[in-house]
Amino acid sequence: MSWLFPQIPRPDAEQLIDLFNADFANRCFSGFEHPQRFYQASGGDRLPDEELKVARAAIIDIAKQSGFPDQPPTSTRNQAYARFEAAVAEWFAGWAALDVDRPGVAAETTRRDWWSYLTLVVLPDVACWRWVSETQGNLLKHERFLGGGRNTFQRIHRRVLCLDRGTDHPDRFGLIRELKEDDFSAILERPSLSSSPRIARMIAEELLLMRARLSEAGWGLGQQQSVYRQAIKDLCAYGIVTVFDLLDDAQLQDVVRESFLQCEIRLKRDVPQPCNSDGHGKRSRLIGAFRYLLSGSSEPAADGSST
Amino acid sequence: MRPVAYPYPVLPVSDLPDPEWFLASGDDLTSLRDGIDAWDAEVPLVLHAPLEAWPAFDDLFQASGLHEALQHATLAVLVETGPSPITGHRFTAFREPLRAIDREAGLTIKLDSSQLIEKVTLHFLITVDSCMVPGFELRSGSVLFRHAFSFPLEGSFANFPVRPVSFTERKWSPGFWQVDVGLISDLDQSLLGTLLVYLNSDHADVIERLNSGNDRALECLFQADIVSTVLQVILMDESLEPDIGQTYADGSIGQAASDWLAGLRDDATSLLNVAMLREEMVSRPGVFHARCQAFALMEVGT
Amino acid sequence: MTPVIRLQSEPNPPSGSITAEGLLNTMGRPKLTATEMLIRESLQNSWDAGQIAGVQPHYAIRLFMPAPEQMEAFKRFFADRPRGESCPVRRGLDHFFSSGSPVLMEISDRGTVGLGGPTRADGDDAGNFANFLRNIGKPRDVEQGGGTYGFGKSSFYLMSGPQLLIVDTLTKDGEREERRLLAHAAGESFNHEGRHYTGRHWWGVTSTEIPDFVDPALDGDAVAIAHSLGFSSREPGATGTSLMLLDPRLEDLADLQAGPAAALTDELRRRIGFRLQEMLLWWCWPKLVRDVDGVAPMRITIDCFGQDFSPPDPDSVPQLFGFAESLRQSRQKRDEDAVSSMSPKKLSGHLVISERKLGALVPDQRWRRVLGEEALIPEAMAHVALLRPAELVVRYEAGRVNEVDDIEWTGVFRCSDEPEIEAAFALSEPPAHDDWEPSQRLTRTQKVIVNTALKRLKLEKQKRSGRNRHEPAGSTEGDSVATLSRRIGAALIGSGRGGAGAEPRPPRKTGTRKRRLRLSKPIPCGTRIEDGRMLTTFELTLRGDSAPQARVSIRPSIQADVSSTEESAPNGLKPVVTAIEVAGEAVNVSDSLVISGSAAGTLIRVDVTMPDYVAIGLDTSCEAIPEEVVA
Repeated sequence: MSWLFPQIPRPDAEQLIDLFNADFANRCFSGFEHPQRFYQASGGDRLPDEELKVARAAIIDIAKQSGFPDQPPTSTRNQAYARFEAAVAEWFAGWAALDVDRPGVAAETTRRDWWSYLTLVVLPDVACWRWVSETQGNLLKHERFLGGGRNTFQRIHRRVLCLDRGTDHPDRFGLIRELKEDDFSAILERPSLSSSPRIARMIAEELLLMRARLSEAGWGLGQQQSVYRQAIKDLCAYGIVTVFDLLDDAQLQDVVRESFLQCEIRLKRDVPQPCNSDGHGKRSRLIGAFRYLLSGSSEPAADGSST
Repeated sequence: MRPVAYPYPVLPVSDLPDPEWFLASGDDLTSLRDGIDAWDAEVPLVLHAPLEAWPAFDDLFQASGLHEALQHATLAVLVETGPSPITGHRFTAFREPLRAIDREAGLTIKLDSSQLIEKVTLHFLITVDSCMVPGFELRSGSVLFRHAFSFPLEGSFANFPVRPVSFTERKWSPGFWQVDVGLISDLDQSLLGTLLVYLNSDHADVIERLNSGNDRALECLFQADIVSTVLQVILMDESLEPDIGQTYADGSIGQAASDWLAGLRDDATSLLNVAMLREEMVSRPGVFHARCQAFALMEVGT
Repeated sequence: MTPVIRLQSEPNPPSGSITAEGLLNTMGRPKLTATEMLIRESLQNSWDAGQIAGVQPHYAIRLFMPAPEQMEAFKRFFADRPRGESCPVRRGLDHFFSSGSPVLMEISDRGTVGLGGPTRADGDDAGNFANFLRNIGKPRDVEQGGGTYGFGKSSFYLMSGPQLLIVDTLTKDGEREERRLLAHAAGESFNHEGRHYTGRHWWGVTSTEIPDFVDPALDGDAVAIAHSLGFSSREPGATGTSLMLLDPRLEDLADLQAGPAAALTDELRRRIGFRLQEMLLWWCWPKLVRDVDGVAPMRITIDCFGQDFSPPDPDSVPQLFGFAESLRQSRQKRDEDAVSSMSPKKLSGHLVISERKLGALVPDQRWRRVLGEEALIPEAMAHVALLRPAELVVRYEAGRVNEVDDIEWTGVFRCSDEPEIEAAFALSEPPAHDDWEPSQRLTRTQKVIVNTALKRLKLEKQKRSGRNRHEPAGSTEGDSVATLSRRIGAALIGSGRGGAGAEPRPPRKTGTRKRRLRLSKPIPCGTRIEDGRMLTTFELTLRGDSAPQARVSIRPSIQADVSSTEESAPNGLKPVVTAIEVAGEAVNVSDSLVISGSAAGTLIRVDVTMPDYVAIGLDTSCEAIPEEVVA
């Protein structure tokens, strides 16, 4: 049976956010208790506070490696946070409380009120530290603190649910480590793809292969992004007509690969290719890379969003 | 999802009865239309869909020009579950060659309840492996028939989430009620998971009047407040783009909101679109609120 | 000299027809035993046929063993038997005739109209006779009749060993009375000499007009045959119908361990009698409840091998007395008993429940004493009977006696007799008429009406069943707003109004509000190849009040994901409209059409190219162009 996770109801969670917004000093850890903390009224054991203690300690350790409690320097901020998130993902994968092989855990971990609790009560300081670059006028964005697809920690856990290559794989967390912010959102924001880990993984693997292939050929990250964004869109459209869940691995891989390749071909036609001479190619690669770093967590998206 | 056309001939949806799902316990079948009364996460969920009313598959495929596809056809049931599509998951609960299905016996699937949470959507699908029918080459996995059915665990979509609590105990401002709209990242997410109306049990007399059903005016104001608050959240969020014609998931906040928006529009003498309603809400909120009251009045009745 | 009776076996016409197996399978999966179904169906038929002003219909069941000369008459009647060793009808007849103690069951009614109308089913207007004996599955033709004359017949055949019925009916055709006698069996479909037969057989008089066809024996001939077979006699004027079932299956009436061939002991006959009696009481008591004028709707008698087991007056049976009281009150249709839905505001019916202290009246225990645990009529009551206006019990909502307060309760929910409401409940009944389950066949309004009733019944059941003494106290808080939750839910969720495809809501005050012109959801009609192009067609209809002109815009789009659309397919191509037809006439293809003289129901067909291996939908909008602009 699954653990029963501690939760706090939404209005109380929002009250906490208001508190944090009112005064910087409130953004600190003050124990695991909360007057409105509750547990689902069904069979199962409540997650002991001991476990929460272990979690807090481990995640703070990971954060420290990326500068916590100080902000990482601007030039390396994105990589620092990316490293932080990859490490937290690996830790979540190993945490007994979130062991998805235990019956009921996969379902229970989707309870938003649990993630609200984890973020606002157990790790408020780390969460605030994570989003400093997003906060406008120091006001915290609710979506990062309340449970949901964009919650600080739930979004990391979703990567584990969808992209963990499994204990048998030599590089289990390779996908989680190497995919970038925009890659995650492209895949995980689409329930038709992300609700099935098998499909999400296959797309992620193909994405990395494409990246390797195109980087080798001198394509900039912006161009690569155009390829996989389009490829994923195309897959969603095809997925309405052909049910991916019912294709076997080989068939699915063919479909995914074909989609990526077609997008590459089309984009190659539309976009001037980097020429072979070293100077030009290198410069355009550098410019691409530089632009990517300066833009923040991702290339500016059409809707300005990121996951 | 709206009705769509496929790049090949499909089975005739209008001639086939929608699969109807039942909860099976022993020989008893209870319709799932109103959800499940007492769901227990420790007991497997056995679900049954009768197929007796369907014509013989041979005849069906023959009549649709899909005769050659029958031997490649599969009947599958995919289960989707979770508080919202983005934070949910999906798995295949049933999959058999169509020819092996006994229509008299119907379809029975057994779900591990521990994998299910809040809401379940059953996708009934008939697909084919790659094959040819006259004039068309069908790719593997192509859909010939699909039907989706959602039901809530623990209760019914039709029960509105209302909870009496003491506001003073929680240190909330002592109003009569509080409409709590949670984060809406996706209009397909469940209404039950997004919205909760707290009634202040400190005002026991008000709750009594609301509950009795005799105070029409109070009930109208209550409903109007719920509708206007939810719509406000949705209309103000530019990423959401609610659309009146769009089909949202059963029991979703999008489905409720789009019904309400259409309902608000019905009262107008001229055609109001969503953008105009948003504009009205922002620049003339008084008018918008009055419109919500008028809408609620029609629900409560005079 | 009575005419010779011949057999007619029905061949399969070229267009196909339902086989006997099909007929026997029309009941779905009922929750009742075969005998219960037979009794309910036959009583319903008698009730429907009994709408003669001022006459109380009389329904009778008689179980008896035929005298030797009657057996001889049966042998003569069934001299012609169906071919095929494995035919169940043939085997059943053989068994009946070789049995040491054959049994017959006669179900008859008087004071009813009998089975009139043409005796064949080939005319336009089939009457009761043809419907009962020739056709299957006709729609409900008696206004608020209890059953359909079509479905339900299978219960008769399944009760008889040879799956066979002999029908003897006296009916009026204008002023003239006509007596008719015909037998019908539903066996197994079979092949013979290259022809396929449905398995349905008739015994009657060879037709002089149609080859290989039998007509019923008529008038004098019918009377003579009926008398010889042991049908109860019928004087002139006593119109009605008698059904004779050969070798009725008595398994659910009595435990027949020794097998059906054994003689029926007195003990067994008593059991059978009590069983029939309680079945009739439990399922048909409304027909015996005397109204304010002291007359019951029907008279019912049971003769079981010469012993009288007629059901007593429900008012005299303590367990059923509460039902009788509640029924009488529900017939008054008082406002305080009404059960209505909120949205739409419709009356579902009337609910009356009467309570009394457990033990206040000593229950009638005769059935329990004889039948033990299997008795239908309990000793303590916690039931609400669900009734259609025809006052036939659909089923019971059974709860528990309130342990805390020791209260028994019995009640009646009688659904409204307004045609639309009554139809909603009727359509919710499966073929066996033994439940109400809102089904796909209902409109949304009808579903709300039926569900309102069912929910209220459930609520009453829970309320009156009370709490078990050991339930935790904490559940009150949730309960206290349960009704509010339900009401708000009914009002605000799933209202299904609005949207381009939905039905327009009916105006609140007739005539003062116009229904806006709108388009139905586009329905895909199929994909084909035409002139080397892949095309798909959609159909949509204009609805609402007509306008002199309407502007309709139609744009195809790709289904890019479950809830999103795109203009272009993955391969870059866009779906293109190639043809548009309005009310059968082709019009110029354009994004925005102006349709003149549009009226509700105008059908629009749109052909669209399929650019890629994707799904396509249509985005549409429409608005009426006001008069001033048109001028």
